Amino acid sequence: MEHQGPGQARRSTTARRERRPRRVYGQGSEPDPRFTLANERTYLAWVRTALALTAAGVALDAVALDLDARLQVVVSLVLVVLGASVPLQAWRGWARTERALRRQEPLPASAWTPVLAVGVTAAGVALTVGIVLA
Amino acid sequence: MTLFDPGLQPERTALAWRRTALSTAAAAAVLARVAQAEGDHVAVATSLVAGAVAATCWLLAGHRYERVSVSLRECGDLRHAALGPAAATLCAASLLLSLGALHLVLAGGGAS
Repeated sequence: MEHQGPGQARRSTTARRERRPRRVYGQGSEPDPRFTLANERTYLAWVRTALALTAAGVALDAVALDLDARLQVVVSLVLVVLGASVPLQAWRGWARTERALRRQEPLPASAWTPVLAVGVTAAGVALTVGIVLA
Repeated sequence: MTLFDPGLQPERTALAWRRTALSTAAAAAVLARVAQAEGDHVAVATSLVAGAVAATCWLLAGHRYERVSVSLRECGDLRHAALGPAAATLCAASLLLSLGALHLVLAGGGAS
């Protein structure tokens, strides 16, 4: 440590700021870093899922379909609202999982998965029925 | 340079950040284009801001990879690498994009 250059010393000082969010990092002990990184990638995968839902909603709104216009808007809205809710849930899920990892507790189940499954299935069924009946 | 993990977890995580930030920025650009075609100026503005925030995420991701590497090298764990700032910024970009999309859908128009 005595041979540390000034650049390294400065970087270490900035790196030792308090970690946020505190309600996650204030608990338990450091888990295996690979678990933390895997949890982080899960969060990112959820954000990309949200992006796909939003894109699907916007695309459905933009294309011309032989479909009842109200149904088309409603299904678009369902997809866009699901897309808006997923990142918030992903953030909450990340915090819960990280906390459980730090406390060496069992990992929590994802609370949002059933809502997402029901929403996407309902959107698919509504579109299929709407297109068949149109 | 020594690798911390033969499974390249920090590198895979950094790449996951990159592709998420890039996808968000690309989606924001497409949404801005669609909104402009439909004359929805609110959605255009929101998605442009979302794109800028996504670009910030890209920078934060690089910064975070640096922090993760330093922390792993110095302590063998991630005690000096908080996820909060980068994750909150990405959440904000994603939400802004959703708000723009919501406005676009609710403002009507569309192709129908």
